[in-house]
Formats: sequence, structure tokens, C-alpha cells
Amino acid sequence: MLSKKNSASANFMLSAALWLVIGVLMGLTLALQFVFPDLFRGIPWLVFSRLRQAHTNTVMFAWLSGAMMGVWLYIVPRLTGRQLWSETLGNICVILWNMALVAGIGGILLAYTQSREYAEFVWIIDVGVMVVLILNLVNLYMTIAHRTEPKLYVSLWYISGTLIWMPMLYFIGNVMWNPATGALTGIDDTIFNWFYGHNVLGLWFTTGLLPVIYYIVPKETNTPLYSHFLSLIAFWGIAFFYTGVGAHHLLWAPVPYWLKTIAVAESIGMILPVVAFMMNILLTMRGNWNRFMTSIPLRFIITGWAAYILVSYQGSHQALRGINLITHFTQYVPGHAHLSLLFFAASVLMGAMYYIVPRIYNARLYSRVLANVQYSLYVIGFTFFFGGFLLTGLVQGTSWLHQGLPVWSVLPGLRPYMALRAVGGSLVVISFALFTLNILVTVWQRKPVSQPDYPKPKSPKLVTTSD
Amino acid sequence: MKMTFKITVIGGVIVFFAVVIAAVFIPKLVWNPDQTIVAHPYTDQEELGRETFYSNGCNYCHTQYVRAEDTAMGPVSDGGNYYFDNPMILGSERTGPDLSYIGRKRSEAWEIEHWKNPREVSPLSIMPSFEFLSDAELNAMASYLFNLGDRVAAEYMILPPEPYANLIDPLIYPAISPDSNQPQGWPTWEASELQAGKELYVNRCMTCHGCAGNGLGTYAGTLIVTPADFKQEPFRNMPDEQWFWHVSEGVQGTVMPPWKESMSEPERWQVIRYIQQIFARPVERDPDEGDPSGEYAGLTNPVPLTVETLDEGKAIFIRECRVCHGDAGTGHGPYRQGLLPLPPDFSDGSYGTLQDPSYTDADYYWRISEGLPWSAMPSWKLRYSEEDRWKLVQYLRVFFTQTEERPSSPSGQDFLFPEVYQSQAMPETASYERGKQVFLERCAHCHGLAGDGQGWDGQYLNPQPANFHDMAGMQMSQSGQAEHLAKVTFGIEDTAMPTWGEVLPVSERWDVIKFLMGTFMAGKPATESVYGDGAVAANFVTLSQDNWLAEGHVISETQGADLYGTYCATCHGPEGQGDGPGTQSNASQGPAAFPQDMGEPYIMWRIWEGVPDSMMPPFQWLLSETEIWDITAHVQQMTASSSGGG
Repeated sequence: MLSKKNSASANFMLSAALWLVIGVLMGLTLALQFVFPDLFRGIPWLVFSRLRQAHTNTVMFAWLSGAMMGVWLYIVPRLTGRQLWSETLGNICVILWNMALVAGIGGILLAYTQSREYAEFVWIIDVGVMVVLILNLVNLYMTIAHRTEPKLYVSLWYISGTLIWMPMLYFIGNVMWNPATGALTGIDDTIFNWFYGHNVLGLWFTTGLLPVIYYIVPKETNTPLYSHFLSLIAFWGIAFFYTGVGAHHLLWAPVPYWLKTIAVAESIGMILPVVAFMMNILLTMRGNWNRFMTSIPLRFIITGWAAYILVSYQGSHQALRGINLITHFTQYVPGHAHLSLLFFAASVLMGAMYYIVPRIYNARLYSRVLANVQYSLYVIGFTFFFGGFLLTGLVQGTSWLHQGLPVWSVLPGLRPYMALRAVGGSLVVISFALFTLNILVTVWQRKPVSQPDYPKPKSPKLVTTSD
Repeated sequence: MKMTFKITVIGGVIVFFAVVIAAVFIPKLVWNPDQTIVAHPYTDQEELGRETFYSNGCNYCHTQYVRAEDTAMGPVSDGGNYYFDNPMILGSERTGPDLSYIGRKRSEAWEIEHWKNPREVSPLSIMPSFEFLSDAELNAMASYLFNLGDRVAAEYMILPPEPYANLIDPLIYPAISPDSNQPQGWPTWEASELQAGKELYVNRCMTCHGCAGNGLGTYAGTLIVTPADFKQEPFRNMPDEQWFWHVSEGVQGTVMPPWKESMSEPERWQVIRYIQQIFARPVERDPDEGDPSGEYAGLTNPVPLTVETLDEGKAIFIRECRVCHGDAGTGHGPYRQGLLPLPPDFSDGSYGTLQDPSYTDADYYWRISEGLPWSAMPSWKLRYSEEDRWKLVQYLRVFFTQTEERPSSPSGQDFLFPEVYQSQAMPETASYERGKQVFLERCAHCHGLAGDGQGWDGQYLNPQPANFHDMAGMQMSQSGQAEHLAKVTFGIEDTAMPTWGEVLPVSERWDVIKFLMGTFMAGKPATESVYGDGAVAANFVTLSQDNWLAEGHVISETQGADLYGTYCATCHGPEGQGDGPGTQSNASQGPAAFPQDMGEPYIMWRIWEGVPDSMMPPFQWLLSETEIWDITAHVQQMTASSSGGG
């Protein structure tokens, strides 16, 4: 049962689709608590400070990472021209991954946390995560090593890189050699924390999702990727520049000044690979923009691509000391994180799942209308949602810095923007619920793919001549 | 470039580690800041508190590091502040206040209450309630935060940058030390450059920081950020470098100017030294004042003494001197607190008599002009002309020390006041209750709480303060009201009645007239005691002596008896029968006798808030809370049904 073809990929994606709904509902709960702080009073596991950690871990690991690994398990066999090395191992990964996350997220809600941003899981959960990362690495590396297609397509560079970077990153960033607290003593711990914290985005989600874009855009447009050379620049550029940006979260913390400067320089350097990637996809899309409206997967993927460009430029600017001075500590920063994970990563993964799930089950998507409605809600909802973050953050930053106001005195003035965020956020939550529904019903119903309904030629009337 | 599987993986790992070594491992090796005084090892209790703090994710809204650009959060965080921290909980968002230096800012009890009911104690907070945490966890967390970054106030200040860092006063003059055996007279004072400092202070600083150094100068009220009160922390123990930095560069966000533009370095040190010695860290000394010398020796008052010059002297006194010396010259001005030496009591008899004065004109004039060594008395020669100072001398000698003959006012002359006042009418907004407060604060110490002219401060004055009981039954026309407004405004020429127009806004002057008319002309009927209902204002119901004592205060019934004698007995009578001397021939009826066994909350409430629409004033505006508790204890003892009880 565990060895059925493509089952590991499907299981990863379907479990992630369920986690998605849980994760965004947590987010909505948080957004509401900003406006109505006593809404869930007296329920310890819904208290903001615990739920925030549960929310980030749910969406990052349970939803995004789970779905992403599922997508890889589908893409890699296609690009290597063979089956997955071990479907059973893939399914073991699915089970272990979900078990670790149930325990880890449940633990956070019960106040078992290391409280280092994005590295909250306690040591034993970290071990579970590491085991899955390594098993997954073995599985996909063996698939790639024994490939029948000699050429290594750009998506495979990224996936091979990401597979090896993430376990090293996770081990170092979580200080796994110190099981008690998963942290170092003293200020250096924060350098490790943010090296990891930013690279979960840089060397996991970014390098894990760009290959998905590189795969689906040419497939859905029936156009070869525009340039091998631009892909090289983007790949090595990201590997070099992204690894060192972590300290831009610490521009005002007591860590070495030169380290901050390295981080700022690397952040600005990120513009290079981002432009290379942007142009590569843009030029591949040339002449294919009609497909943007007709292909649901492509529409989501291209939206994710645009969001990636936006969030990368935003990130590079935000890392400049002058801009960071205003935005740091404010809601502008979680706004940036949501632009990245909720608009770039989620959009790419939804597009990929709309592409892959019907193919795995050889079934028709349950409803294109629902998918269209879902897309509109997603984009409109996110716009208000992101606007809420942006305005809250800018009001906070300028009030503190330019008017010298204390933190608490600004809170009442933020309330409208926080409410805007909750309103936009609830549209996004509805959109995601529709997505999960659409995917699950597709799998449930398995409507057979119908061939295009060409008019059948009428059978020629046999003219018999009687005589 | 042909990308193979090997190149991708090995190349990827090499690039990764190259950057990780540069951006993570090398910083770890080279960056090990030393422990600072802010860092301290955590006790078991604090460690548990810290764990509770981060396990519940408090650090997701509360940061623990301060940037140079942050306003009023404390010194910029040093890496060594986190010497003992594991894991680091610097935080990334400031939805709530930064907690780097929260220690000792709030009591542990407050913190716990705040976690249980955030909006009860901090109305704008959007923090969730943490009432679900156990008491042990809450206590531990309180103990962690109470000891987090705790330091004395001066150390919270941003450290001065170069070239101000570590500066100290270059002049170490041994006689400044109060322990020195040097004589503490004028020569020492001047050699320490303190007189130069005083003159600079009077010229540059006094308009905002005030003659008493409490930040209540004449311009203070026009400023959004209150000028520094040097008698408070952090100024009392502020290091020299901070003083010199702030005086030199000004204070950001305030109108404090950068004095380096107009004062030399030695001058800045002189004025700093003066502020430190006189306001921030005053020490009781017994200076030898000496006798007027040089230009002041043997001077006599060149200004002929008339009612008009006296009046001009009075206006200056009310504007400048009253705040410390008091309206009646007894040294009980509102700014006297914290001054060393205290302003003198001109009525204490040490100034001699009319026939045999102890001080000459030159003595007075010299002290007013130059000030006194080791005293906050300013050098008024910098502000007022010789003629003005001589007029002040006249005013002091005639009315306060009474060592000079009072000129007789031209007889038969009406009280003259500007024409514009004659058309003034009492505004409808004038309030009896506000007037009562003004009367209590400004008038009662001379005119008496009962209005009989028997106030505790003004008895020695000549002529004595007016007895308002003479007004009983009179009617006052509009022109009469206008005349009284003018009298309050300009004072009364041949008496010590102050020119209140220098101090009180016109609305308060009308209020007090309304009070006088209502009380001493029309009269108020005796109020029925509402005690029988057991009615007590809501915020006094739970009042209890035990709580007050538990806060470390002391209640003295003896002290209460003295205070009762000064403030209450004039109406309530020595035995509380409501037959005090102030009730005699008063238009308003005397108070009812005290009912028996009034509870503390009731007595406290009545003294604190007064009785509306009666003469009983709200004593919260005159007496301290301690004094009101003392009086309460005395009244309670007076009215106890079993008087022999203990």
C-alpha cells in the first residue's frame, strides 16, 4: 500500500492541504486578537504568544514544507526519467513528518518551546524533523543518481542543493548539539538563530520553490526555458548571497558591526540572482500570456513568481540600515514574511498542486469555477491583508522614531489597520478553505478526464442502390 | 558551464560553508563580549520565571534590546548584557514595550495584576490575559522581570558620546566638601566659583528651571516638555559627564539649548557646580554671612518711602519671592521644599524692632542684590534695577520684619483702580467650590479658614488681615464686586495683601469673590450631617488605616491633635461641638457637633473632599495624606463613644 506509484507525493500534498486550513485559521485567530485582545480569554492554548509560534510552524513546516516535498517527489521522477527510488521510504517520510509536527505544534500550544523564532521545536521534535530531511535526501538523491535522463535540468540543481543545505542549516541553526535548550549561552545565540531564521526562507522555501516554477512554466506553456546562462547566475547567486543575510535581522542588536555590513551587502547582492530569475521566466512567458488566464496552475505559479520578485526587492531594501531603522520591530516585518510565504510560496504550491493532483489521480479538477473564485478571493484578500500589515508597521515605526512616542501609546491608533488585516485575512482564509475543498473533492470524486468533445463525424450513409 | 550532479552538490556545500564560516562561525569565535553590570546570574526562581516568560512566547511582542535611536528606553544594549542568557530572547517585534530595563520600574504585585487583567491597570494595552498561569509561575516571572536590567536611574541615561565621556569637574576645591574645616563664608563660596555659577544660573537658566531649581520657572508653563527638576532623580546623583554633555549640547526633544555656543567651558562647569551644590545635592551648612562690604558698605535707602513705592516692592515680591518666602514672609512658600537652608521666617523676631533693628538697609539690600553663600537666594541685581531692589527692601522692612515705620496712606482717598475694572461683572461661570479651593490655598493662612482674619501665618502682620465676618448681611452691587476684584488683583496698598493679579488668573479671582460673597455675606446654613445615612463616597468605602500603615506610613494622633488645633478647631471647636471662635458673628452657621463613632472612611472622605455648598473645604489641596490621616485619628478618638477605650 505504501509503495503505490506517486502515493508519497500525493500523501504529502493532501496532508499539507489539511494543515493549510488549520494554519491560516490560527493566523486569523491571531489577527482578531490584535483587535479584540480578550476574545479567547482564559484558553491557554489560544493565547497570542503561544499561538503565534504554532501558526508560523504550522504554515511553514506542516503546510508549505509538506506540500513542497510532495511536489518534489512528483517532479524529480519526471525530470530523471525514472520512478522514485523508494515510494515506501517516501511514505514513511510523510508519516514521520506529520507525527513530528502534530507533536511539535501541540507541544508549542502547551508551552513546550525553545522560543527562538522559527526554531521553536524542542530537541526531540528537531530530531524527528532531521530524520525526515535526511531520509528525503537519500530518497531523492538516489533517484537523481540513478536517472535515465543524462541532462540535469535546472530544477534538479535547486532541489539537490536545497536537500543538502536544509539539514546542515537546521542542525546548526537549532544548535542541536545542546539538547537542553537548543541554544547557545550569550549574545552569539542570536546570530545562529537568525542565520537559520532567514535561511529557512532563503535556502529552503526559495530554492525549493523556484525549481517548481522552472518546471511548471515551461510545461504549461510548451516553451523551453529561455536561458541556461541566466539560470546559472540565479542558482549560484542565491547560494552565495542568501546564505549570509541572516544578520540583517540584527542591525540594531549588539553583534559585530562588520557582520551587519556583510548581511546588508549580501541582501543587496540578492538583487542580481532575482533579476536573472525574473528575466528568465519573463522571457519564457513571452508570447504565452494568453495561457495565464486559461491555465489555472500557470496563473497561480506566475502570481507566485511576481510575488517572489516583489518580496525580494522589498527584502533587499528593508535590509538597508536607514529603512530598517523605521521598519524594524514593527508589523512591517511580519508583513514582509507574509508576502513571501502567503503570496509567493503558497501561490506557487497551490499552482503546483492544481497541476499535479489531477495528473496523479488521472482525474479532472472538481471545479474550475471554484478555483477561479478562490484565486480572486486570494488576490483581493491578500491585498487588504498586506495593506494592514504595511500601514500598521509604518505608523508604528514613524510614531516611535519621529515622534518619540512610547510603544503603548501608539496602540489605539493602530487598531483600524489591524482590523483591516483581519478583514483581508479572513478572505484569504476562505480562499484557502475553498482550495483544500477543491483538491479533496477532486481526489474523492476522481471524475475521469474527458477528451475534448469534438463533433463526431456522422457515419456516412451507405447508399445502396437497389435495383 | 555544464551542471552535473556532483558539481551541484559539492559546489553547493562549498559555497554554503564558505559563507557560514564568514557570517556565523567567525563571529562566534571573535565576538564574546564581557559581562556587563546589567547581566547577573539567574536564581532558580528567576530561571523558572525566564522559562515561563519564553515558553509562553512573551518575547514575540516584547523585545529586550534598545537601539541608540529609541526614545527614553534606557542605554543602548551591550552584548555583555546577555552574558547568562540561554536561549536568547531579544525578540523581533515591539507590539508591547521593550523590557530590557523593566527591573524595579513596577512592583511585582503590579506585574502579576497586570498579567491577570492587563486592561485594568494599563488601559491601552492589547496584551492577552495570562490568568491561566499558576501563582508559582506568575511569581517566578515577576521575580525574573523585577531583576531584569535593574539599575539606578542615572545609569538608565544614554551615555555621553565623545568628547564628553568620562569628564569630571576640573575644579576640585576642597572647601566644597561639607566636611572640610574651611570656613563656609563668602571667600570660600567665591573661590569655588559658586557665585559665578549662581550669576550664570540667574541669567541663563532661571527663567525655565526656576529660582528653586524645581523646573517651575516663569517660562516652564509655556513648554511642552517640563524643564528638569534638579531636586529629583536622575539629577541628584547624575555624573559630571552627563551634566556637562547636556549643558553643552542641549537636550534633544526639549528647548534646552546647546550652551556651548555661548558659554565657555569654565562657565559651564561653574553653573553645573552651582546646580549640584545648591539644588541636586544640598548640604546643611552654617555659612558666615559677614557684613556688607565694598560698594554695599554703609548704604542707606535712597528711595523715599511712600505708599506707592511699597506697592511696587510688593508686586516684585509677589512675582519673584513669594514662591519661597511665602505671601506673609514666613518662609512657607510652595517651593521651599528641598531647599537647604530653608527660607527665613521674617516674623521670628530676630530682625529687631522698629526702635532697634538688627539689620540696616545695606544688609537687606546686599543680600537681595548678591544672594547668600550656599543658598538658593538668587542675585537679584541681575534682574532688577537698584531702585526696584530698594523698594523690595522697603516692603520687607515695613510689612514683614516691621523695622521701618509704615507710611500713612493719604486719608479720605478712595481705593483707586483702573477704569476697565469698574465695568467688570462676575461671570456666570464663577464657581463657589473652585473659589473655596483658592481661598483654602491662597487666603486662609492669613484670613483664617473661618474668614475671621485669624490665619496661622498672618497674625503678626500689621495691619492684620481683614475679618470677613464684618461683611455679614451686606449686599454687593456690580460695582462693589468690581472693586473687590480690583482689590484681589492689585492688593491693598498699605497692607501686605498680595497683588494676586501677578499669580492668579482672572477666573480664579472671580471664583474666590464668589466664595467670599456666598460664605460671609449671604451665609451658608449649617449642613445637616449626612453621617446618619452611613453614606460614604464610593472610593472611600474600602479605605482602611491598616492599608495605609501597611505601606510603611505612621499615624500620629498627637500630631493630629496639633493639626486639628491649627486647621479645624476654629470652626469645629476644641471639643468638636461646632462652637469654635470662627463661628462667632459669622454669616454662615457653625458646623454641627460631630456625631459619635464616625468610621474612618467617613471622616477621611469629609476632610479629603470637603462638604459641597458649605464652608468645609477639601483639605486635599492643603494638607498631605499623612496629615489627613493624623487628623482622622484624632477626630476618631475625640468622638469615640467609650472615650476611655484604648
